[in-house]
Amino acid sequence: MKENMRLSKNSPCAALKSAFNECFNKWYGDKFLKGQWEKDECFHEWEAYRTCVLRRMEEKKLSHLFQIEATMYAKNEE
Amino acid sequence: MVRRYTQEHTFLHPWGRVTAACWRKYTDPENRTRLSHILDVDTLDRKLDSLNGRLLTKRAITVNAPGPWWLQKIVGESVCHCIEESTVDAGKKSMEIVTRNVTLKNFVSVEEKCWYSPHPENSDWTILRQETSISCHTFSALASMAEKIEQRCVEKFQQNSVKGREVMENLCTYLEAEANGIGVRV
Repeated sequence: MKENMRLSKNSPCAALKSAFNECFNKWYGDKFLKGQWEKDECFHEWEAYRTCVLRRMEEKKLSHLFQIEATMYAKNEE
Repeated sequence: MVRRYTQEHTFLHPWGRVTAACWRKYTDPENRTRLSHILDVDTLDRKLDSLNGRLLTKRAITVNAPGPWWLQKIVGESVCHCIEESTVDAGKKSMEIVTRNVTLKNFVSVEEKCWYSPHPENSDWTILRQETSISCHTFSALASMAEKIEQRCVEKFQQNSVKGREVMENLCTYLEAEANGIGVRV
C-alpha cells in the first residue's frame, strides 16, 4: 500500500491531471451546465493527461484490468 | 448471499452545483484527508455527445481494500481497483454513476449506483438516490466468516458514503460562495 500511495503522490501524471481537472471543472460549470455543450474545450489537456495515464497503467501492469473498458468508447465512435 | 441497501439524501442546492461538486469530490486536495480511503482517481475515457448534451466518463478509482488486515494478507492485496462509469445529461438534469470493483472479484463484488436529480418538490434542491449491493464469494466452509466480512464491508461503505456526502455539502457551500463572488479560499 505504501508503495501505491507513494506512486500516486509522485505520479508523473499529477501535473497533467490537475491541469485537466482544472480545465474540466471550469468548462463544466461555465459552459456545459449552461447549455453550451457543442465543444469540448479541454481536449488538449485531456490528450496529454490520457497519454500519461495509459503509459503509467502499462508500467504498473494495470492496463489489462481496464483495457476493455478503455477502448469501449473508441469502438462506439460514430 | 447479496446484501443490498438503498440510501437517499437531499442537498439543499440546485442540481448543477451538486453535480459540479461531485466532479471535485475526489480531486479537490482539501478533501484528500477526509476521503483517505480513496488513494487515486484517474479518468480513463470520456465522450461528449455534443448533440444532446450528454457527457460520458470512465474513471479508475483505487481504494484501500475493505476488510481487516489479516484478510488483506490472505487476499494478497491491500488496494482495490474500481471502475466508475457516469453519464451526465445536462438537458434532462440527470447524473448517473455506477461504480464496481475490477480487482478482488473472486472475494467480493460491490456495485454502487448513484442518481442525482432535481428534487420533485423543490427544483432548487437535489435528491441523491444510492443503491449498493455487496456480495462475498467464498467456499461454503467459510460462509459465516464471509458473512462477517460482508457486514464489515457494508458498515465501511456506509461510513464512507456519509463522509462523501459531507465533502459534497462542503463543496456545494464553496461553489455557492464562489458563484456569489465571495472567495472562501483560493
